[in-house]
Amino acid sequence: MGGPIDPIEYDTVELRELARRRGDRYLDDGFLWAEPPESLPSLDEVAEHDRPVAWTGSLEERQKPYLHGVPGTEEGRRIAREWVRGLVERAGSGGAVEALAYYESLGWLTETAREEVEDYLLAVDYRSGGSLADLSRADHVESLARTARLARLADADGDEDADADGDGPAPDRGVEEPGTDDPRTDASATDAPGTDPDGPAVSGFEFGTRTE
Amino acid sequence: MSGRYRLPGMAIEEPSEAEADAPSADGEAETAEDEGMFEAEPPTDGEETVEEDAVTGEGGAAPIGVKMGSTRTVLARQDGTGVSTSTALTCLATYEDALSGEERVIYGEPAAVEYPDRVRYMLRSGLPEDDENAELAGTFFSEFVDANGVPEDSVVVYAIPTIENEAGLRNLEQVVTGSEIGTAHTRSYPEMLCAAIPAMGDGLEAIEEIFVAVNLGSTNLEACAFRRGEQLSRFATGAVTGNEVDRTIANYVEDETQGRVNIDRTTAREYKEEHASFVDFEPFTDVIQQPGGGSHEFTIEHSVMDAVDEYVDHLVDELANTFLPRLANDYMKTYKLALDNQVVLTGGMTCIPGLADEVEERLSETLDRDVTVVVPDEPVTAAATGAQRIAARLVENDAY
Repeated sequence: MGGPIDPIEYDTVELRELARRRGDRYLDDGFLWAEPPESLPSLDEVAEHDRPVAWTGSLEERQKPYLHGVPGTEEGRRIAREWVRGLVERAGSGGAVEALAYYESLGWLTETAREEVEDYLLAVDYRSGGSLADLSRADHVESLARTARLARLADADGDEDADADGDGPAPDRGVEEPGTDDPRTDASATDAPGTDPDGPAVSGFEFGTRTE
Repeated sequence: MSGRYRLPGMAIEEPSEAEADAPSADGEAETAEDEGMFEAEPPTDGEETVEEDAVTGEGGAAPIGVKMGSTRTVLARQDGTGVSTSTALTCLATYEDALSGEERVIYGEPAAVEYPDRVRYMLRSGLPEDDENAELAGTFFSEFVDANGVPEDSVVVYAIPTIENEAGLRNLEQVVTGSEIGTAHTRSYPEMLCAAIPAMGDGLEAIEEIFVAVNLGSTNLEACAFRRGEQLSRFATGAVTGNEVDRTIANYVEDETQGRVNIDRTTAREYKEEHASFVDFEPFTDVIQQPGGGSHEFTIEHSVMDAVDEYVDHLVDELANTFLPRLANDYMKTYKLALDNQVVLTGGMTCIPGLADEVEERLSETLDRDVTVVVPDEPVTAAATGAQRIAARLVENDAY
């Protein structure tokens, strides 16, 4: 596609410029400024694309547990730390532990992986109170996304630590979709896995249509 | 409760015949009209002026916003200190002038009313599907802008659905480029973004926001996230639509009347437009004339709201179980920020009173977290109004 009337290929930078500028002044927080305020994000800022959470591997290869260990890379450590921090913020330190145990019970991660993730509790401030019940469905979707991201990193890096529990992740380990054995694909979705030029060529895994 | 008479498209049948016959689908006008979005008010071509802090285009090109919808086309233009909108059914009919013998063109409501047998709706799927419909759409649009006196020297922003339809877009481009207006400049932006603009402020605040937009259209359910104007995780499905609600209402009416009344989808859509409400729905009666004379009065208590209720359930299911997980997967940070902001519903189905609150409640319950849902004050004209604001800024900034 493309062309002057294609509503998909519009110029985001131009659009933002239109929203921020009135004549020769710049709009910010209800005021007009002669110079572009520094508080405004840059015009060409783009969203962080998290498509790498998509798993590789055939449907048959997808099996629980999805995550066998936290990858030893800087990216892996960062994701685990942010994951734990998010859980603590919403459900307290106790709730975060409960949540990780819950995810282990669902088969999202192994006991070893759960312990490794729990270790990151030391990296965030302790917060009393809270429980697993404080976490919403949206929080669990987020946790599943982080699990997926870590597992994908482990696959990509061939991280030895990811196999620390000795379960031996299968080559090209994949996952089954939580809550259903029939991962759905939607031909109408333009960014379906496998069609994204920025993402890896994947075999059709799509993120959870059901989460417990 | 009040009754009314109806002749076309409705028939009283013996139960056995009703069981055998599907709801009427004959006639191009009837079928095509079903494709459109609907308004809470009876669909009449008209003009409306809303006072806004409009940007003047004095001395420059006129800023125009256009939304060509499957049922209605809306044009928004500056009118003094406000913005006025003109709406017409997106349909066209031709007839032979009795005096001169020349072929004449009539469009909009008069075409639908006066020539129901030959009226053509050329944007059934939201875009012109073939050359013939593109030509008809071009004729319709020329007549429409002529009738509204839109100047050629204008900056026109089109609000266009972001469905994947390369041929349809190409045909629409033919319509746009063939139009006399927009000689100064033309642009197009997603219909959902344009419609969200008046819902989120008096200016272009929506462009700086991070939010989820959902278009409840008659032919498609579209959803995406906007992150400071950047469109992310576009999603569209034809499984949850206003047209499907019409079909369901027709089926339920047949069930509720024990097969005695069989309505077509046009009538079902009118029932939906006139009676559906999550706030103050009341059972209503209708009267049909029997072929052999006499009339039959019946009351509808459940059919309309049951269908709309199911629609909301399916909508929430698609959002919670398909679109939002996909967004979380693609753009986790955006997903989190967007859910903290308003979810903007656009499209004709949002005209149903109380629908936004109902979606808010059920989506919050399903996601197990608070979600805020908003709709534009004028859902039918919102996309054109938002497009006009962008056009006005293009003019103001001399950015064309």
